[in-house]
Amino acid sequence: MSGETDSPRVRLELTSRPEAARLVRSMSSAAGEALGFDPELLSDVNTAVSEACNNVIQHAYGDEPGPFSVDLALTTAGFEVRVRDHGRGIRQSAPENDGLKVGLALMSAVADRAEFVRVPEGGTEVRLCFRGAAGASGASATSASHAPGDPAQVWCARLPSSLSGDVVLTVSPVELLGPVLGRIGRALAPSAGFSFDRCADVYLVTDALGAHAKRAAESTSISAALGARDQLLEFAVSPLRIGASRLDAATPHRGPEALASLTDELTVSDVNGHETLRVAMRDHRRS
Amino acid sequence: MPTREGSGEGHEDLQSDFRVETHTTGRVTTLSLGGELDLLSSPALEQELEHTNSSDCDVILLDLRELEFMDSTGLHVLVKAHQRAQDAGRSLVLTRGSEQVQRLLDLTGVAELIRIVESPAQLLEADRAPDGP
Repeated sequence: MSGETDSPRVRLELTSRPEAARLVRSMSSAAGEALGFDPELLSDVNTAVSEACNNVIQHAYGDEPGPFSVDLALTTAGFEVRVRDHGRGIRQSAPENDGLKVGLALMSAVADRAEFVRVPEGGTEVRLCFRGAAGASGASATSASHAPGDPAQVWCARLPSSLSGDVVLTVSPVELLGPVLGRIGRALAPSAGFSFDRCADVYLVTDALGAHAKRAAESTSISAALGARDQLLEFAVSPLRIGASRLDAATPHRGPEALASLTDELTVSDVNGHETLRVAMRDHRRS
Repeated sequence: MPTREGSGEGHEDLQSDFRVETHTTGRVTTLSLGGELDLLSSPALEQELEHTNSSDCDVILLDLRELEFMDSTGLHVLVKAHQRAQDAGRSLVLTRGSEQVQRLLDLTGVAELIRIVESPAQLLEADRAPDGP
């Protein structure tokens, strides 16, 4: 994956629960649509990414869920995907599993390049490249490199914020936050027990968060954490410029004022010279 | 865990957006699938197919026209249902699904293993024809 920071990039960190593959598809679908992928390519990306996630969910950590990450980057070489876990490795987990074989064969069939790499520190990384995306909007003028290390990790480490939640999303450019966060939030809302109507409200909140992030982001990258539990969906967005999320009665139609009217809680905290905006929405119809 | 609603004639899996509705016309039992058939929702389809096994239909039609996505676990359920149907002297038929679903069936060779029709009406018409399959 290219280490260039001007490539559109999306990273999702989550836990290998059964619903994880669906959350990742939500991310890849939203990112692919925002970047102008044709539907056939997007369909292949979703097929391959789902199989890579299924392997993590079913085999990486045995019966217990564990952490994994999915990185997407668009370069002139194509759309590059990395799915990385810290588990026991494909060969150790299920060497003769037919489902695993079908999944690996499918990834190899739909991607232009598929590599299955044992990570020295432990775990497996699946690397996929789809060349058909090279001409999509936003493709970096740089070519992909295959240098060792994890450029996405380096990219995320540069962000001064450290968020935690059921899933943590990081995007660059900031314009990707609204559409990608919306699709993931909508996919996560049923886990919080949200009714169908309240699920639809998630897009209003994530659109407002995306619009606020565009105005208030500190840099070209931004992170968002999501948490779902007991009729409650929580979002945290960071790093934002200090003072950018303060409520302003003079402009109630934009910025955090719009969010305040859509959500049940809104808090702003300053940590290490940047701001984190947290909002929570409840489904009162089910309380 | 997925939440399911239904009364033996279908499931709606709220968490995975998967739906399956079952109805029988003559000797054909049709399961209409919608949403995403994946690791999360495949058990719901398996459960619905279990109910079908105890019916006296000759043909099981899986209508995939509203199915938006399928992964290899969903594919595995289809192949297993095909094998069970053959063992019971029945046939399993699919209607053509979305581009993603169809590509999965083609890539894995399942499209050659299981009969695929364009629509439920095509199956009924073919079976009504004197020299039908």
